[in-house]
Amino acid sequence: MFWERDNLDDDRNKLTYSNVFDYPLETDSIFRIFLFALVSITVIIGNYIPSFLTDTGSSPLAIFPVTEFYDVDKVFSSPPEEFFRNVMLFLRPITIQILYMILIFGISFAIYKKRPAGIIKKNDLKEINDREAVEALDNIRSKAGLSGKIFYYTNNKILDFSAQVFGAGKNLYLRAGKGLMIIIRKKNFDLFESILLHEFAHIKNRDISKTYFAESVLKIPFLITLLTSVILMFFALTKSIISRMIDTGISFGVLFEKILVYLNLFGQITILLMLLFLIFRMLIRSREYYADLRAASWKSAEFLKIHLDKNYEKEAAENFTERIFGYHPSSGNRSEILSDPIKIFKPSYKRIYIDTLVSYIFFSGAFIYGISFLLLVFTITGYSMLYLLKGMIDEVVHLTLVYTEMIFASVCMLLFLFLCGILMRKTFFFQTEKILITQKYKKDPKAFFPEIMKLSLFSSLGIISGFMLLPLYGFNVLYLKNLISIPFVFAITFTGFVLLNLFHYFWMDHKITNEYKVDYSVPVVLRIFEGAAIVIIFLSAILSFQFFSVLIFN
Amino acid sequence: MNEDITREISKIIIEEISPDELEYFDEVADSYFKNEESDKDAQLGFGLSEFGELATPAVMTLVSGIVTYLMTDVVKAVKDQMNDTIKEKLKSFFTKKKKETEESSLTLTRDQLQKISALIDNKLKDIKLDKNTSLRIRDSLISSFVLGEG
Repeated sequence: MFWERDNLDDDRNKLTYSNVFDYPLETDSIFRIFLFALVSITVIIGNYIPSFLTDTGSSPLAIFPVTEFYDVDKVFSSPPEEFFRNVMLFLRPITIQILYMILIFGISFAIYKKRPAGIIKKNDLKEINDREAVEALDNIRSKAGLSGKIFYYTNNKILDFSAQVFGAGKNLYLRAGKGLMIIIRKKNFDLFESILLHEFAHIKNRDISKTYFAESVLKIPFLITLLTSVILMFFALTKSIISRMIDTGISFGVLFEKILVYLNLFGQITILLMLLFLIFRMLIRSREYYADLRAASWKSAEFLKIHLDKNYEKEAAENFTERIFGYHPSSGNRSEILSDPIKIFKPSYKRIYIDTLVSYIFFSGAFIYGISFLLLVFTITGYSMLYLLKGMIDEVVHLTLVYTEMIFASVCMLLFLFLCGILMRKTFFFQTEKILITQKYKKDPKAFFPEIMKLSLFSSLGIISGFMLLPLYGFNVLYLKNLISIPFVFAITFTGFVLLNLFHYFWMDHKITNEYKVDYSVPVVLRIFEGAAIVIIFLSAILSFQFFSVLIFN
Repeated sequence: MNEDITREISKIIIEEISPDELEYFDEVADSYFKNEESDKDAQLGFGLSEFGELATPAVMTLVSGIVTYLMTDVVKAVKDQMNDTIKEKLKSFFTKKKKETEESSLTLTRDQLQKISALIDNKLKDIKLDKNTSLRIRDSLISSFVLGEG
């Protein structure tokens, strides 16, 4: 078939441990998007809180029905009190969103900054003062090519043979158990060195801030948003039922319907947050492979492999929950990747599904809140200019100022969308690039076209799952007709993803598979094009979910 | 009392199979009884399988199992004796002293010996030490009993 690559070159290059780092680390970009998605969800859920409190039944999208303000003539000719009342109507949702975001970031940042002190206190750690031990650690750190200060800590547990890195910002810490420092260092220095190199590899791979900041943000949706929204949901439901019972009496049907709506919302929020929690653990687990590979590029992988193989049998007893909630992949998988690093570049359908799901959440949040936020800010500014400067300056100058502001607003919104697209493109295309990397190093690579079809299929499923889970206008037990749009959205996104993946595959082919040096650079124009194309596909999905249901049922 | 006996008997075995561990034996034993473990799944961490490279905790696990068995099954007959006497009798299995004080030591039947042997093998399977250390510990323990077989 035309898409099957000939295996002309039997002596393909062997992928070395260092070669792995010629390519970007798989989870680098998804971590950023994951953080934004967490914030999006928190804001989406958080926006329900005021509506529950006031029992207005409004959704986050209730910002849009305030359309009277968009009537230019009305704004221009309205009396001051009406103008300011309308301005306040706009400002209220913006203020709630901004305050909620500040609250999230404030608390997350505080948790993140205090985490190292928390770890030190919880584990009763003490700084290592033994000169010989510090020297040994410094030597290993130099071997890892790290020059910055790392604080070395240990505990008082002679049977603790583990190590861990943690920190916040530039303050980096290493915790090495007493058993590791005293016993393993003496009995098996190679293993001791390999373990510490693995830890320093986490620092080199910039895992610390990503992991600990994401963990801090993740605590907010779980601890604050979920708890608050559950309490408020229960409160609002009870209040609504009681007031109806007092006023008119309540039928079983109405009661059932109300409970169903709340259960639906609660179910979506819980599943979504659980899913994000699992995705976070999955991202951390995948960083372990890269830390192993980086460590292996500094010192023979043999010592880590011996340990991992030994551990493998023991892990077989671990149950499913331990595996999906754990911070580490199975020792068997780690050992396998150390034996054959090309396996790290095996295109993963599960990964692309999760990446697209997270990207959809991120983009929905960015579109609904980012764009609506910009729109509201610029509308208020523009209409304030229109209203407040009326009669004060020359009419032509006045209108020119207002139009300039509108054009500036449109450019800002477009740039914002491009930025989202550029952020998503790296994550999205990495699985496609994995096909090329595998082709470069593997003697029997799979045909790329079926791979691209599968990747596109799972991407589309990721978008649909995002739609079903996001507590916006997606899945609603009372409006199952919303689901009728799913096949249309699937057709649109799948076609879009196949075309885009094919384009990227052929564009990157000669750059990645060239036999001399990987050229991973992508021209800005192409990045903007691909970013814009991704934005268009995601935007089409978001709008199509609404459009096709309305089209069919109206 | 089990803890004391386990500690003392384990030390005797460690003296024989891994004398370099005597340096931190007491600390390891304390930690073992406190059930202190590594946080093997810490975020961005790396943990060694259970006992790392150490024979002491493995020996203590085995000895503890054997002592429990001996205390319940074998020492039943002499449970009216003073604790110290029982302790001495158990210790006698693992020390050369037993050959000199044959009269005060306990002797095991073939059936009891087989049970102990199975217990050692099962525990060693669970602990998953490296082969050499496992064999050394097994040989040392089994030989103690075989020498005392009745």
